[in-house]
Amino acid sequence: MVRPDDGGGGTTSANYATLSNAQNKFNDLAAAFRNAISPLTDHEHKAVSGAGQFADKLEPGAAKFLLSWREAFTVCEESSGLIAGNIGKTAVDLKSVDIDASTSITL
Amino acid sequence: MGHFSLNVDPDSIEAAGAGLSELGNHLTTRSTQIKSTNGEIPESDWKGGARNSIMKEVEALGNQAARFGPMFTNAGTALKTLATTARTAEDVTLKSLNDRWDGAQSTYNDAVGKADTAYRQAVNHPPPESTPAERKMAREDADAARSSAYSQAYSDRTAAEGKLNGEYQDLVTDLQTAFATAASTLVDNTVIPVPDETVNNFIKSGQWPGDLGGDDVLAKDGLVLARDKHDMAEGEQAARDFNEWMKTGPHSPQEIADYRKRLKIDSPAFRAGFLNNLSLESLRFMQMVAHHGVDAEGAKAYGTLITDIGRMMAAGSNAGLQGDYQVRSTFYEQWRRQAKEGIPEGEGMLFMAELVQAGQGGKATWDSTLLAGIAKDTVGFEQDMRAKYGEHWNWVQIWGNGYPVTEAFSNQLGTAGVPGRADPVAMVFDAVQYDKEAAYQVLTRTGSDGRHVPNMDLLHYLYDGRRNQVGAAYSWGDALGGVISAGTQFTGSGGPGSREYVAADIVGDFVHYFGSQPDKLWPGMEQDVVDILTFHIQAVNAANGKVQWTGNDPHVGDPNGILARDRLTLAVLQDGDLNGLMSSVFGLDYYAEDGKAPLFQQFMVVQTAAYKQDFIDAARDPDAPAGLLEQIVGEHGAANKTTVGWFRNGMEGQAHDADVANQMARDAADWVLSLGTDKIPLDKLPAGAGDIAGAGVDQLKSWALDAAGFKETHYEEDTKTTVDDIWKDTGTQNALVHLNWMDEVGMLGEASPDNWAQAHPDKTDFLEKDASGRWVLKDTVELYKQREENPEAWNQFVDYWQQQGNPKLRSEDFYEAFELGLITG
Repeated sequence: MVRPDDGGGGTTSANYATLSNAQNKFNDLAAAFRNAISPLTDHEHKAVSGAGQFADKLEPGAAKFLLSWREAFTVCEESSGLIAGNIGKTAVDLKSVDIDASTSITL
Repeated sequence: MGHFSLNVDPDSIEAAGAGLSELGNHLTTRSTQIKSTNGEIPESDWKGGARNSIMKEVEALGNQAARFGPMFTNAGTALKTLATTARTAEDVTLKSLNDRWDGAQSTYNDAVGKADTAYRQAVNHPPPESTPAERKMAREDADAARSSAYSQAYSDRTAAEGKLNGEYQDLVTDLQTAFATAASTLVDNTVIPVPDETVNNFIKSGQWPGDLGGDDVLAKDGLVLARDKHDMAEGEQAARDFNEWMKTGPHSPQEIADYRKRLKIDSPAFRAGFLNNLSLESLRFMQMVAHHGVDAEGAKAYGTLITDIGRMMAAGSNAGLQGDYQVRSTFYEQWRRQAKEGIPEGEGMLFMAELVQAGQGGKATWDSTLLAGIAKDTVGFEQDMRAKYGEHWNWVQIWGNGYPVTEAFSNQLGTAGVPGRADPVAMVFDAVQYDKEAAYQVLTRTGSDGRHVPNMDLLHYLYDGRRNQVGAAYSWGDALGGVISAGTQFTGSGGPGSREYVAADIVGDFVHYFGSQPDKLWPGMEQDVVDILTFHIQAVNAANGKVQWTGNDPHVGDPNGILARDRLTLAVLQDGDLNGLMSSVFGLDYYAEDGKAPLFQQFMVVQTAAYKQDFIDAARDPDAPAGLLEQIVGEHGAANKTTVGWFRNGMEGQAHDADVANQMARDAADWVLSLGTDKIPLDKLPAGAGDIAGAGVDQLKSWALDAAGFKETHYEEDTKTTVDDIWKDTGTQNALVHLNWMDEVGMLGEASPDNWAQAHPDKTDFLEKDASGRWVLKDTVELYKQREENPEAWNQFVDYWQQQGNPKLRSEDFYEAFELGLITG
C-alpha cells in the first residue's frame, strides 16, 4: 500500500481518505485476480481428473478455459494495479502499478 | 464390482463446477463494487487528465467483471450438469446393466441345472417294466433333451450379454458426448482466444504459454491500461534496439522488414515509449546511410522505416492524438536544432523535411504549431544560406543523383527527375497543405498592434523570390498552391486581425499578384487556384456585382446583410486580375484527358450554387428590397458570361487553332446552361408531355446557342465570335433556371402550394399531389403552354404567385421573367 501521492505524475490536493479507500479497493482487487489463478488451476485439475476415462474429451476444452481465463485475469490484475497506482495522479503513469502482495485475498 | 464399470469421479467434477460457480458469483459482486468507485470520488477530491482516463478504466473493468461472472456461472453449471450425468450413469444405468448381467448368468445356471435334473431323472429312474432296448432309447432321449436345454440356455445368455454389451457401449458413447459438450461449453465461456496448438502444447508439457495477446483483446472493450503498459514497454525496447542497431550500417531490406514488424505506430503508448528513448544520432545515421550508402532497393527499404518513424513522430507531436502519453517536447526541440547542424550544410534540413513529409500521411497529423515552426525554420535556413553564399545557393548538390528514399518524396518528385531536384521547403509545404491551421500560421505573422496580418514579405518570397532554390517547378507549385489554399480556408464576417479578414487579405493579394503576372504562376498550382476561388466564390461573385470595391484591404461583412456575400468579409478582387489568373488556369483544362474541363466545371458549379443561395436567401428574407432578385439574376448571367469568357481565353492560349477553342468554349457554355435546366421536373408531366417538354428544352438550348452564333466553326473567320455573342439570348435559359429556384422557395413555409391548397381548396387546378400526399406545383412550362386550353389553372397559378409566390418580386419582374422563360412557347 502506498500513499496516493507517491510515485510519478503530479498529484492533486486530494482527500486522502477517499482516495486511499479507492486505492485499497483496487490493489486488493489486483491481488484477488492474481490469487484467483491458483484455484482456477485446481478446478481445472479436478474436472480433468474426475473425467477419468473421458479425460481426453474434456481436457482440451478445460485447458483452453484455464489458459484463457489465466490470461484474462492477468490483464485484469494489471489493470487493477494500474488503477490503484494512478488514483490521485494528474497524469497517467504506466509505471505506477500497485498490487497488494497478500496471497490470502480472494475474488 | 459388477461385470461393467466406469472410471469417472462425479464428485470431483461437481466440486470443480461448484468452484467455478462460486468464482462467477464473486466476480459479479466485485463488478458492483468496482462500478461504485467513480461515484465515491467527488471531483473536488481528484481533478486532472488522469481522473478521466482512470475512471474510464474503472468503468471498463466493472463492465468486464460483470460480463465474466455469468460466464463462470455457465461453465460451473456445465460441469455440475456433467457430474450429474456421470453420477446417473454410474448409480443407475451401470448398476442396472450389472444387475441384468448377473440375472442372465442366473437364468443360464438355472436352465442348465434343470436340464441336468431332468436327465438324471430319466436315466436313473427308468420304469421297472421297461426292456433294455427301451431303456437305451430313453437314455438317448434324455441326453438329447439335456443337450437341447443346454444349447437354449447358452443361446439365451449370449443374447442377453450381447444386448447388455451394446447398452454399455451406448452409455460410454453418451458419456463421451456429454464430456465433449461440457468441454465445448467451457470454451464458449472464455474471452481470450487460445490457439489449439497452444492448448495441445500445454497439455503435453504442462508449461504455461507466453503472451496470448489478452491485453489487445480486452482493450477493444475499453480495458486499455494493461495494453498501453505493454505497448510502451515494447516501444522503449524497440527504440533501445534501434539505437544500437543504427550505430552501424547498412542493413539488408530483410532486416529492415523484420524490424518494422515490431513497430506499433498506431499506438500512442508505443509511440511515446519509442520516441522518448530514440537516439537522434542513430536516426540521422540511418538517413545518411539511406541516402548515401545503399542501392535503389536498399534506399526504398530504408524509406519504409523512415516513413514509419516519421508517422510516429508526427502523431507523437500531436497532443490530441497522444492523449495520456505525451512525447517529451525536448525531443522535438533537439531534433529541430540537430537539423540545422552538420556537414554538408542543409542536409539536416532535408532529413527533417523528409520525416515531416512522410509523417504527415495525407492528413493533419503533425502538431500544427510545430509544423508551422519547422516550415518557417526551413524557409529561414534557405534565406540564411542565400545571405551567406549568394542568391544562387541551392539544395541541388546535397542529395545529388542519389536514389529516392521515402514513398512520399518519390510521389512528390513524380517524373520531375532525381532527388537532387528536391528542396526541403517544397517537402515541408507538401505536409503543411493538409493542415489549414499550420498553413495559416506559416502565411501570417503578428503585426505591431498584436493582431494577425499576412506575412506579405514571406508570401512574395514564396511566390517568386526563390526560383533559384526550387528543385522542381511542378512539385513546388503543387505544394505552394496547397498551402495557400489550406491557409485561406476561413470564411465569416470578422474584421482586421480575424482569420477571415487575414485569409481574404491573402486571397486578394494572391489574385492580384498572379492575375497581373500570370506568367509567374507555378505549374501545379492550377487546381489550388480554383480551390481558393471556389472557397472564396462570394468574393468572385461580388466582383461581378453592382458594387465595385477598390483598394487592397478586404471588405468587412455586415452581419445583417441579406445575401451571403453581404455578410462575409471578402477579398477585394478586380476583373482584370481575375481574367489574367483564370484564363491562365483554365488553359490547363485543355489537357484534361476526358475533355470535360474539370477546373471550369468545378468553378461554375460552385459559382452557380452561390448565386442560388443568394437568390433563395433574398426570396425568403422579408427585408429584401424590391428588385433584388432581378439584380441577382442579372449578375448571375453576367458572371456566367465572364467565366466562360475566361475559359475561352484559356482555350485560345492552348488550342491548336481557334476552331478547337470555339468548339470547347461552346461545349462549356452548353454545360453551364444545363446546370439549371436539368432541374426542370420533366418526370412529373403527363405521359407523352415529358418528351415534348424535353425536346422543348433541348430546342431552347440549341436555339440559344445557335442564334448567338456559337456554332461549330470550320473557318478561321468564324473564330471572331465573342463570348458576348454566345450569351446574347441566353436570358431564356437563365429565366428557366431562376424559375426553378423560385419553385424551391415556394415549396417551403407559408408560401408553399400545400398551404395554398389548404386555404383555397377550390383553386388547385395548377397543383398536384406528390407521393407523400403533399400539394406541389405542376410543371410551369406545361401550365403556360396549356393556358389557352385551361385558362382556369393558369389564372389560379398567376394568382398564387402574385399572392404567395414571392412578395419581393415586383409583378413586372415576375411577368418579364416568366415571359422571357417561355417566350418561344
